[in-house]
Amino acid sequence: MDKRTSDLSERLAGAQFDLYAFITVLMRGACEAADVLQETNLAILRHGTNYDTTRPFLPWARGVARKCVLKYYSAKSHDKWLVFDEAMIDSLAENAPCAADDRPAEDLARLRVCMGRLIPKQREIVTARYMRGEAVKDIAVQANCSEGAVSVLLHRVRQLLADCMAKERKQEVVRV
Amino acid sequence: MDGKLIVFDDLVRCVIDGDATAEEFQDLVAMMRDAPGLQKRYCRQMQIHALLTCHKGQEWPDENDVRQSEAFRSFARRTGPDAGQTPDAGGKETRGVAWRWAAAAAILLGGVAAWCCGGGASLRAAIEAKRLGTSGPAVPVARLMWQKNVKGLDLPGTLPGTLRLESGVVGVRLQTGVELSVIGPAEVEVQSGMRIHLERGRLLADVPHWATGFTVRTKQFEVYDLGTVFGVSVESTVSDVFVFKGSVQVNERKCEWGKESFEEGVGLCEAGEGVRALTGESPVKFAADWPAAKELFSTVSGPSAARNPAFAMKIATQIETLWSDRNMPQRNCVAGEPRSASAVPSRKAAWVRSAKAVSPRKRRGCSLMDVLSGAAPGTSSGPVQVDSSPCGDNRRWSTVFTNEVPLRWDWPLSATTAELEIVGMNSVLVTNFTPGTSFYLWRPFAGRVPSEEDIYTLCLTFYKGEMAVAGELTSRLAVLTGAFGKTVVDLRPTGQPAVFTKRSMVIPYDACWDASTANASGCMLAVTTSRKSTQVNRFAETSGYYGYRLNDFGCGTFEWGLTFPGTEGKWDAKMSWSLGGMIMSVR
Repeated sequence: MDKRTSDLSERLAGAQFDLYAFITVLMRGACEAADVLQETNLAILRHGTNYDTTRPFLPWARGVARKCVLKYYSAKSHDKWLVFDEAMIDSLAENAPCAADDRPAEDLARLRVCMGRLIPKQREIVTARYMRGEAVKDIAVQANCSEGAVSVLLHRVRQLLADCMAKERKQEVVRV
Repeated sequence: MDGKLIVFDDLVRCVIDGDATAEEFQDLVAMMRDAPGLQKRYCRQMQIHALLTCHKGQEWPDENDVRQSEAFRSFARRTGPDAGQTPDAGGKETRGVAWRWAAAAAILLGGVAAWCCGGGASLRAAIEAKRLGTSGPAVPVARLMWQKNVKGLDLPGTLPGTLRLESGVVGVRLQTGVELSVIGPAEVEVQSGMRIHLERGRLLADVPHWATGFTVRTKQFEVYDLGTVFGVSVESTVSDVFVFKGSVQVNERKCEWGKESFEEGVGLCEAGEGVRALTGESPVKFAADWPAAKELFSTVSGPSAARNPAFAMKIATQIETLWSDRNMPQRNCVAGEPRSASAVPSRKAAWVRSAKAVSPRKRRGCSLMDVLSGAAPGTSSGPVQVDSSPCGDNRRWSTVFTNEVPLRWDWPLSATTAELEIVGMNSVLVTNFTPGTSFYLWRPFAGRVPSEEDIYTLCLTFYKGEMAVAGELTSRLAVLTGAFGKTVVDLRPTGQPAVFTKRSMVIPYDACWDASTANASGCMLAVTTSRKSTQVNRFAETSGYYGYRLNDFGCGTFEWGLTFPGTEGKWDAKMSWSLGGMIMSVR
């Protein structure tokens, strides 16, 4: 593996979370996001020679990911009512926050800190849904409550985590 | 929060949960159109959802972890690239030490993928804790997830460390979330959460997308993961990799002047593709790209491979063997001679050796040439039809008479699953059963009469749990065109060879063909190659069929001798095979 390929592979490996989150946004959380990330990885490695190493990597990689999302939707016969149109995808791509190029995984460290601040009930429901991969309806049965209640609680926890992480980010900026 | 935001959040929640109807989704799109604030709100929820999904299968930090992580982050802020010279905990002056530690960790990992998700954070916390002289979070190097029939298991406690397994199957999770199913006997050196070296044995790696860059090395190559499920096996001088899901980059291992390096030599392998590498030879890429192999691959493709790793690896081996038989008969022809290093072109893009067999036209042309060189025109008779079914004397063999073969069995008491494997000369069928099913209608060929003769070995294995064998039933069946009535035999005058253009044939043997051998207690079929090496096949039965594939022996001239030990007499035959066809004479 030459140095350029090796460098590209390292940048790509470091950008996995950001690309996954970006594709998830464009694909409204569909489980196929992992498959499209896979296609994106391949496309980046195949077309790595087009990348100008003097420019930030993430915006370029996101451009490749955006094309892969569009290609995925055009190749598969999806229900058009459940897919973002191209204009919306472009608009979301502009509004999705991009991690700094040199520390793409910082959000994960922040998430871990914020997870530690949740109350046990909130942590348990997030653990069941995301760590153990349980369905909302299964969690509802175990918790003896309605699916709607679980769904709303999960939504609130995500909101709490987002707020906490934003606060952490701001505090870091102030401290630095 | 105003009513519009409540409605919007509710729609986002439904979309994330996968419960949104088409109308709800359209409402969401309509609200977000030309509303950057709502788009950002949607992005924020989705990103947290992606982050949490990314964490699937890993454990959240406990209180200590969080404190360590916060301590690290605080420390990193103080000693980060922009923080200038700051005293560290030990009072020594360093600039950006934590970042150098982190960079070193990244190099150690062979990439920075471990920075993603929990593995990276845990590792950094551990590195920092080590630096600060405090005990780090208890994240094991390889966490044992499950085990089956395990003997002699050693798990690494530190990095680098070695995982050893005498027998059985274990599932372990590395710090990066990579899950390895190791099939014993095996020895794996865990160099980091992102790199392992398989010394011997077989393993199946299930690599989450955030651990892209995970690398498996063997003596022959390195496999650089691109987010996938793949299997690697190492047996003395042979290494194999096969991709069940996703794709990997395979680089050939080179060693020059005592310095090891990996060069781009084989390319990308996608699902259903693999690479076999022998020491001293160029790796060969193979693929399940013909119908029988595709059917075989369909039983293990995707993430299902990780659920039964031993079975998945077995299928991968079968596909490689079948592929070699179809596409590399020259491997047999030049056995013992190293193949040219240019046998596999070096490419960046995915490349698969053509699986196209010799065209019938070409084969026919070659065989005609062979006929012309071996027999004078006009000396052979026209074809006649005879009934060649030897069913009367085959006590241990069964012959198929219809294209529907009913299979019935009784379940052992303890069995929970069963796997039926039917291996023929040209195809393999594998299917699974659960208790309650005691019947399977097997169709060995399409149509009324088989187009090719075949020998099938049937094996029904009962499992207790997933891996413990509770019982086994076996049978052998021959599919003969003569069993379906009459078959064409091209009769020739004595001394004139018969010409075949098929790739496989069924050779019958029967001690009762001659009175002098009727009381024999066994049978021996010897094949002598033009290099005078002899392969002897011994059969306990005195009558039956031997399935012969051209690719078993490759090109050349072969002498066959059928004898029944303890009796007089010998049936012999001489056969020549070129890539275009086969000439055979029998005495």
